Amino acid sequence: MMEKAYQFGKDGYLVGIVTEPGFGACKDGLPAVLLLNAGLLHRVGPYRVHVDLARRLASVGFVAFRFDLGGVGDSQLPNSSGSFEDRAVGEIQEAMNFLTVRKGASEFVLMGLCSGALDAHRVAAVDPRVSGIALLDGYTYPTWRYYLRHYGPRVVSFTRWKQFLKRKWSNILSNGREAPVEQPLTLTYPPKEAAKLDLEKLVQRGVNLLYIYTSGKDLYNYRDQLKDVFRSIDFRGKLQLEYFIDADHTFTLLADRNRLVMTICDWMQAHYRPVMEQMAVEPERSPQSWTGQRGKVAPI
Amino acid sequence: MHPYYFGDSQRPLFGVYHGPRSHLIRNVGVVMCYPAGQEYMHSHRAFQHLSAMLSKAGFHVMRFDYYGTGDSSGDSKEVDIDLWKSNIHVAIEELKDSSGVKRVVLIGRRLGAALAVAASIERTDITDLVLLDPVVNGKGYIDQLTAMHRSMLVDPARPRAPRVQSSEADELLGFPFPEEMRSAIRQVDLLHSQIFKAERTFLIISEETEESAQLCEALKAASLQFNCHVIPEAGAWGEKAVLPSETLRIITSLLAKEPI
Repeated sequence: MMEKAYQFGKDGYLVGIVTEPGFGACKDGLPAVLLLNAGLLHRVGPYRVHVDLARRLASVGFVAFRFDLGGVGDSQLPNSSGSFEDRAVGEIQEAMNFLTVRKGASEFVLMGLCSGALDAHRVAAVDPRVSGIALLDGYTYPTWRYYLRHYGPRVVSFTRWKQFLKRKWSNILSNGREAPVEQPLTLTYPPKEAAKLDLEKLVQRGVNLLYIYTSGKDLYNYRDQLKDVFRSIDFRGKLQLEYFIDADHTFTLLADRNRLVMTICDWMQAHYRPVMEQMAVEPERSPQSWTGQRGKVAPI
Repeated sequence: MHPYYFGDSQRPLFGVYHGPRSHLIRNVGVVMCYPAGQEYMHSHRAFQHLSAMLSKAGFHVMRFDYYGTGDSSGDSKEVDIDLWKSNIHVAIEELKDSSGVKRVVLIGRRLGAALAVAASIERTDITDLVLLDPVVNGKGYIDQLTAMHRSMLVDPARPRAPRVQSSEADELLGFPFPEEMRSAIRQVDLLHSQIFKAERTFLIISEETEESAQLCEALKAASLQFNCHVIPEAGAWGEKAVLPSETLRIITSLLAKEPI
């Protein structure tokens, strides 16, 4: 297995690491995998999960590329205008172009958590080179069953009422001056109808879909919620939906991350294995073997 | 700025070199020593910005990931702080070899600060030590992480709390911390360390604690020249989308020997 750092994009403002099997560039038919930033976390991902995933994927034959969008991690901000979302789409496509030139990749699988999931969806919807997406805690929409599961326990719980009344009383005593609530960075989901149209297009194109949700995801609280939201779509067996009920949003615990990496690798091998078997790729025998690349690397 | 792999080709380290971007090119390099675990995740953006600021001030700068962390080779379970200290030596030699500088500043945060101190004691080419909220007592640090981890597992806001400890018994807050590593970290004791071998030591504290006060006393007692700056930006080192800008500005000014 080899890893090499690259600078790419105009004037080399984007930075990424390619992890590839010992034999080098993408073979025909095998997609390259792009691992997208989760929020402002740099390319290694939460708890280094992108590094673990890239190396596991490379051990079974895939080229994986983790990189930073402009202004995140080690990538610079470009001199361009436009929304962050539009710029992200352009930069992900730039990464795909880079892998085509350098590694011969013509097909891509995009993977992302949270904002990375939204970015993967946006690119897949407009770029036919994307043959698969793995979205972790991506967009979601509530259903009646979601509301029942969310509010039901609260209505019948004495402890919850006690906490609610305590908060309200505390608010009255402080003359309405509540402690400032830190607002998390919010994501903008596509409108449900737009997401539905995109999904229908992806299914029509035969894109492989892996959607993983965790209990740490707001607005998602049961396994088949996504299928209920898009009940009218015939996914034609292209959707694999997983619910990691024990995991939090960033898969903090090692056991959850290990299960995540296995799930993704199994999904990749299930959908691209026939091609791999034709090429008779052997998984890396020794997890400790390494072929590093030394020295500075010129920009593409 | 150049990202690349360096060091032992069987166990390469990932680093980013920032060349000087000033008409004034300084003859001192800077090596940045990250903290461990979650603190690494929280520090990356600030370290990247500090490197860019120091580069603009004319310094050659090297940021790097220890073995088994970040983008460097090695599995996350292969963590070893003695190896990490030797990684600092390798990064220093790499910077000197690549840039031609003969002397180096070490900047370290939390456990990285303790490692920077340990590495400096074994060298004669360290001009300045910049210690950001250093881990002064390793046992206290491990105890704190352990308490935070246990608290996280039973936090009712977490999914399915309380969470039964998984087979990954050696983890703390999402990162492997094998017992060998914990034992080694427990040996960290800056209050009774050998004399820091640097011409100047800067202690940058985001929140005054009993520990930081004890460290200042210990440094005074050892007649070490040092400066302590309290810059209350502890929250900015967390997960928020803000930077500890004042801290970064002061560090740059201190090293460039400009008025703060």
